[in-house]
Amino acid sequence: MASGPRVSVVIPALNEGRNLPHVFARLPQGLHEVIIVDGHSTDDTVAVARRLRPDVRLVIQPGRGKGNALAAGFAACTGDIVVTLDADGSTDAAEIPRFVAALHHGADFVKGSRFAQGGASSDITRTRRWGNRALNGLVNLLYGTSYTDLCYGFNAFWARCLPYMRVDCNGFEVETLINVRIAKAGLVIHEVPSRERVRLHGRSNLNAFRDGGRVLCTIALERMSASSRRSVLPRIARRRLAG
Amino acid sequence: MKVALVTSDGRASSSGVDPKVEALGHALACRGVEVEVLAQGPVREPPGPTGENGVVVRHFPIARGLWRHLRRTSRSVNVVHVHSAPPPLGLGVARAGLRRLVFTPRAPIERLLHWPYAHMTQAAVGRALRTVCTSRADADLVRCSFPWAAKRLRIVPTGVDVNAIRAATPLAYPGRVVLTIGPLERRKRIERAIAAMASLDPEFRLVVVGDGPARRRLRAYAADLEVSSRVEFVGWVSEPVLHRWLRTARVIVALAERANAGLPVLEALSAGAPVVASDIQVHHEAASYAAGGGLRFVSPEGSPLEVADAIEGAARIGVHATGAVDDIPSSEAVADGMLALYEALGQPGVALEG
Repeated sequence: MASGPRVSVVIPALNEGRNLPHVFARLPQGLHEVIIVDGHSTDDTVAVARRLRPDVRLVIQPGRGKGNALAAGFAACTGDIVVTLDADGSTDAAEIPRFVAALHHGADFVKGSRFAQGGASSDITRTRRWGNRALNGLVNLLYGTSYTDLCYGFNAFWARCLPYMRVDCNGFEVETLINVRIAKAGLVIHEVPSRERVRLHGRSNLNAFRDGGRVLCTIALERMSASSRRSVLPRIARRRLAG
Repeated sequence: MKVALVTSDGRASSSGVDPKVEALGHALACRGVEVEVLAQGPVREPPGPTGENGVVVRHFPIARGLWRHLRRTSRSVNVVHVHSAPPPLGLGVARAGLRRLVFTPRAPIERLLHWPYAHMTQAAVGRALRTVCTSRADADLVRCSFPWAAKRLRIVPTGVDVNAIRAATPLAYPGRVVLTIGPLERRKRIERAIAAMASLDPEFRLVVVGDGPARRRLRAYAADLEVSSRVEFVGWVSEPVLHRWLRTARVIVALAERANAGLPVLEALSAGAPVVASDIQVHHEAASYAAGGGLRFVSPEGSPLEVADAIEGAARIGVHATGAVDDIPSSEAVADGMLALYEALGQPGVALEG
């Protein structure tokens, strides 16, 4: 990937010092930059990242949550293409060239999907699978999309898509927010099969019911106009959702 | 000769009549034709018939009143020409028992040939001595759907007041103006132009001329994308003001997924502005009047990024630097064509053919 558009990889990380070596080992050659967005880790995440990759860019997120981390990472990107990865080793960075190829074939935004033909997941629980399916179906119904996997963090897109995303949430609902907003903007979306592996070390911060509820709220709120969203929720509820 | 032009309440104008029909009426009156314009729609002030430049305009709030008037006056009118956007109007006029009826479908013909309008369009085409389409694309579709009416088809493109557009003075407006013209309906795909603003430089400003049922949705969409400060909805404007906007625009966009005439493209060519148009046959027909560059086509279903790239590319061409435009149909030429058609219908022995 040395020639052609510059690829920036954004990896939000919170206490993933033990997983980063596995993630970095799978990164392809020729990347423009790798950005680790640290969520105030208490382990050696930052030191490990610097040791593994001296040219890594480290960004300390201002708040908390995956959405906040991604927003900080996007703001720091200087490449033409942005790829988002998870730091827990469940997503395979070696798939990045396939995502980039789909962008070169006319897509504005490429979504990884564990449930497209060729995709798989060794990590997802039954509850999360059915929740994902239900929320996925709801988004397809409300927004006219054909997504097969709503809540997966492995995506690639042209940096020009960033103004359409306007990430302004903090939690795990960020992927849903992005998926809905790019659909509303009419961007060309392709899905690419992806294989999710079991998290290597540590425990996920994801709570199926709490975060599923936040995803549902996001889906509903995005149906409203921006002014309606601002007026419907009282300030306290907005603070709660912002986590 | 006395001609009745029947139309629905179209774009806002001083008389409440579609400006193109109004212009045709005035041009015919200048050629010595007695013209009566019958508009079905809300009654404008003052009530009762109005008229200027030899054209009498009557408004009918309900179609039945218009239908009764036609029945009552049919013997005194040589030709009735219905410009029908809502198909029921065309059907109603067709059933008024008129001797010489000319029918021009105003809405995109693809819509008129499908349920629930198909049988109304068929009835109107069946009763009309002539069906006048504004583009070859529309005529081909009518011919395919109603082959028995092929011999009665004529093509008269929509005219443009080229001289008035070229003489108009540009408005003083900040930034690079990207102009799009309504009505604000879903098929015009104006939301694509709004979405493109999000990835264009801040100096680009979108001006939307026109009004329609999608206005509220489009405003909310612009707010959602946080480009409201760079998108201005100016509503319907008079023809002279529209001409000034055409001369002000750095780029004119026409992104309709369906259209029955490439009027925005023709107006843009007349103004000498680069055009970004959806890749539909009607726009290609209109583009055939441009001898040089200045036109960029985008997919009717494509991404706003594609539209943004096309706008940027078109803006680099520069205003009034497009190629020579020959034979853009003028309003005067259209009036001459229509008058010749009406006079031919007035010949003895003309009957339904086919």
